[in-house]
Amino acid sequence: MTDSRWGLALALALLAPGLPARAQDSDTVGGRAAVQRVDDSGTVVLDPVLEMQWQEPGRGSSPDVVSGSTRVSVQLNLAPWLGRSGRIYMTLPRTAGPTVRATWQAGGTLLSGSLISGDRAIVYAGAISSPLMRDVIDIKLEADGARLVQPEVLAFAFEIEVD
Amino acid sequence: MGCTAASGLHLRHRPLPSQFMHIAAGVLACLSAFASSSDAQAYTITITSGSRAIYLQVGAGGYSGYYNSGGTPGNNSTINVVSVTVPASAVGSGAAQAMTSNSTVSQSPIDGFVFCSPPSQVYLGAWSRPGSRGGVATLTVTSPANLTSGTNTVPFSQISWAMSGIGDTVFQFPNGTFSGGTQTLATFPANTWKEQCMTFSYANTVIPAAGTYTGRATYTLSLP
Repeated sequence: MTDSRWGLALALALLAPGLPARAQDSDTVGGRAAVQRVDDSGTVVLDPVLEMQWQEPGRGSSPDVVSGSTRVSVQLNLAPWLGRSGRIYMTLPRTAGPTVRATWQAGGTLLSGSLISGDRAIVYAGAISSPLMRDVIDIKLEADGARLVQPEVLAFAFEIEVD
Repeated sequence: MGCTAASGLHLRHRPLPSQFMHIAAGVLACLSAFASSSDAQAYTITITSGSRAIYLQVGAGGYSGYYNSGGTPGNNSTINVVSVTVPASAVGSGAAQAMTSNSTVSQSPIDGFVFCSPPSQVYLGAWSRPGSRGGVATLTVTSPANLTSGTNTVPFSQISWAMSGIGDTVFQFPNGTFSGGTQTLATFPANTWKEQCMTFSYANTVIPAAGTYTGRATYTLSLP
């Protein structure tokens, strides 16, 4: 969620004085689920700096694609939405560098999937029955090597839409 | 920065100078700074192409192991030879003569894939990883005007090459004929690796004096 969305959610809560003062009550805007950022500060990346490697050049595949893989121990703080249900997405903002494709295999709690920078992908849908959600994902990153000149910091994040 | 290789066609390959170590250290320091600035609510992964380096292999190469299994580039001073013996009855007939080399390299250093068919083919591969300085690398080949045998000569332009490779679908380098000068074979945008196999032939359209004619073509990969 961007800072401006946070600001919008707060303003709507203040304009509805009859509603209980719970953070979750700002989860719907105009009948649609609002998006809130999930605290993933407990997440740890096994190797946070990846030197990308060429995929097989020529011989059928693009010669410029580079890739790298690492393991991420995901921990999401879902306490604010405990007892409710919703959908959790992993996001990857676009950067000035090359477009990045992230593909991951989850350990079972989260959903496996893929996304392109600038997009988001669902990693969980259902009831939130625990204040912490943990899983380990093996993530592979691919980019156009010809555009990967400067190191690129990929800031993954999670957001939730509560039903 | 540059590395060279030659052919006699004599082919050789040369490594990467130590100046890159300074560049690599700079990149690592920069990456550490990125890693420590991560947002508390966003796990970050920094991707980088690695430290500044280039690699060129013509014929015999210097990779220890294969790239995709952690192999590292190294030096190899071998200069491979490409040759042909033209029967007296065929000299100057205009019937092109296939040349063979003493290179035994058939596998790509990338993954060990059997790519070339020696002795009729000579492996040619190079990559450029310019790092944060950027830059486009250029591969050239330089040949003298003539092959020589004492004072007798045969124009180097009698020798041509064709590019191919087993299962190849992307033609990275052009076919060509030595011009007796410097010719550009390819440019390498950041983080690209190109490879193919060269098949040489002698045009056999001149009638030189009997003898063994030699000359050296030098392949150079440079990254400004």
